[in-house]
Amino acid sequence: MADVTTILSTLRDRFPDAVIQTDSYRGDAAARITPERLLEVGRFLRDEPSLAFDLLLDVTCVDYLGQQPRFEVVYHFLSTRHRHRLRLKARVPEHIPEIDSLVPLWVGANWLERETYDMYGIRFRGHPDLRRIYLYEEFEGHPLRKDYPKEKRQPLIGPGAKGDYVPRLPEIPNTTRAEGFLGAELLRVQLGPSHPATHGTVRIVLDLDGETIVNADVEIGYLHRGFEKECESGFYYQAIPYTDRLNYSSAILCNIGYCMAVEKLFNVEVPLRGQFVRVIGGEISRIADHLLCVGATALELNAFSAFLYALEARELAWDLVNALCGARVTSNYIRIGGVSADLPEGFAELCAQNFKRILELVGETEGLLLENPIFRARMEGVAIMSPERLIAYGVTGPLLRAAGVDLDLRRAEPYLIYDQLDFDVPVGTQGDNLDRFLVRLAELRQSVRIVEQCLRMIPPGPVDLEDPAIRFPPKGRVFTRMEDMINQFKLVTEGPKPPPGEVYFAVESANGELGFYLVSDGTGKPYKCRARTPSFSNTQPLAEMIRGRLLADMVPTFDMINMIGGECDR
Amino acid sequence: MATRTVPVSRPAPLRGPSVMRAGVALLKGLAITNRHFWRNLWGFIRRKPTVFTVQYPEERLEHPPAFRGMPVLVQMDNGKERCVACGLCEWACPTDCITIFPAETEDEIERYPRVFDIDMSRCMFCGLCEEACPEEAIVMSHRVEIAAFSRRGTLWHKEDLLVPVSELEKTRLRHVRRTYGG
Repeated sequence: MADVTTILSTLRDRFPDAVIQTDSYRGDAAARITPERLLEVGRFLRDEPSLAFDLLLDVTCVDYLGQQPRFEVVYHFLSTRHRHRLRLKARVPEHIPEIDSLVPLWVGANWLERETYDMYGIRFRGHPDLRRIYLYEEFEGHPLRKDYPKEKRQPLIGPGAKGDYVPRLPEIPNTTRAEGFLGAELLRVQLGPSHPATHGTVRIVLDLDGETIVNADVEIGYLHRGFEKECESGFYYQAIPYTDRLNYSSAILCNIGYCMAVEKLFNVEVPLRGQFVRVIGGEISRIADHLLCVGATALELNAFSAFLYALEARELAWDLVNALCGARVTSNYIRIGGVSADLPEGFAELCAQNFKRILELVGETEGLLLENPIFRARMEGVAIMSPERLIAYGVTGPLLRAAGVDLDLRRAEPYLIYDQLDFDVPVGTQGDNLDRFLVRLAELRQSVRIVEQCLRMIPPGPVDLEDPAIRFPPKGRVFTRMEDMINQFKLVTEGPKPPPGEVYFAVESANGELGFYLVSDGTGKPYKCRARTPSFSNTQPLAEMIRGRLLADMVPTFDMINMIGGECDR
Repeated sequence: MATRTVPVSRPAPLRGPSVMRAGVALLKGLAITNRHFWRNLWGFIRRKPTVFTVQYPEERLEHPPAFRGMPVLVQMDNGKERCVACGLCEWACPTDCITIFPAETEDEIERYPRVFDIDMSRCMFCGLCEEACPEEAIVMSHRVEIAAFSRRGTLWHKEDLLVPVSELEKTRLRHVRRTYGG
């Protein structure tokens, strides 16, 4: 792992004229380059062995309205070999918002650039398929631009609004084959947006030759609700309930990611007990998430009992979340500078009791599935993709670990107290769907282990930071002391005000790397709040994974990707 | 740090003729589902149900003290609300579902909300109003039934929102005081 100064100096030495500025604010390596040299710099970053940035995490843009040049396109890179990161920025002017596409270097840039185009109107030169990704083609304007008012409504007009509607099948871009066996015509089918086998609303357009998938196109965005715009229009603390809705099956993990990113802006750390409580809450969420994934997979492969057992186990996990924060799904548990409540009374006993039953139920689910010839036939050897290809797509989490890459941020970049804990990182050997299934089951058991350890090790003390500029003072003092009352009023009405700057912070969520990129301008509202969500990048290779396979293979593959609509569409 | 990378153990490849494999899987599956059946039946006989279905509305779940239901206004023993219409909950609410019009009286607590409306169709039960409140006047109760026949019906006024403090002290207020050191 090269440190920040080495990365930046390597880059500066190689491109003295292209690198305009470098900084390492809060330990994040960041460089601003001239947009013309982007492809060249990108190729160097990927191919230089000491840097080896093989995973493009995120592409986004920041709109500095009133400045020249106006748009700043921001790239985040991760090296899976060296485990270091880099943020690359390039400014493009308003009148020609164009920059080179990185798709030739990282295939995963495809959707990310489409999203940036959709939201900001940045045009990527050389992009193979620059369409809107979340919004419909008829949408006017680019909603994340600062001059697009949040209140502006546009009627949802589909094709035919102008009276020239001709029914036609959706297009599949970049089709590989135009005809089937012996020149037969291909059958174009739409799977979704609302289909029992696709939990979450997603449309998959398929070209079938018999039962074989020849071309595929995944269309997302049915659950898009403007998460980033919403965050930018509220105070920092008001975005926490919205992060619940990113991955609604493991909301606490999303809370943790967001709050820790804000804490990184402030450069503070919560007290030790608070960190333990966060880990406990997060790992219980992870258990619930994996149980849902496992159960839903079983259901969609027609194993209804296994689904019911997994959901019964998830119900028990959610009882724990409910006892912790008062809601099962939308937990809203973590706060900037602490957690909303300490562990309730008798939580350790409740955990011990529920975990026992959860593990029993998981064992039974496994028993029903793993020796079942139908289940095995549909999972074994299906949708194998090489780790290199997955990394190029930007895939992280259980999907990547099932292909044998032991990248787990809890271990690679330990945050909270994960470096004091004892847990295994399960990896797969073949990278097929069965491995993905087994990795999730193994991770679930490790999470149980982590929570048990935390409950044993948890020290007494405060859970919240004692800082009136970040965290509300205790209620008892607000009632009785004037100063704390004033602090409470100031914090609620002005929001916590981090110093100007930008940070990226990532946690290992149930589906992979969940990162938040925050830009602060010193006010109580984030200037830019970007969520790098794992489901988005993980769904992207689906079209390639199922190409050439049977239609029935699509279902388990989609299930093991575990696309969560809220997280993918934001 | 004692983390290890552990490859998952894949189940052994299935052997033997397909009829036998299917038969073994069938018998094993039936054993597991039967175990559940007898367990649930035994729970039913002993009237200690092991199934998760709750026969709402005849049966209701018991919520933990931390449970966040709909936000309500605390009604003091004299029948008045504790709220002083400072407007902090209105500020803190991410969805802007609270509307307050303050007014003044000659009573001991001089300010009170003339109007205090919560649009329950927008409220997302996040509890930030409760956390912002400097008076313990708005509390997430254990009540959850907010269904209405019209959109207008989901707009709750002050009179509908008032809940006696004695009821809340048994439920969420206990948790609030413990958490926020009240």
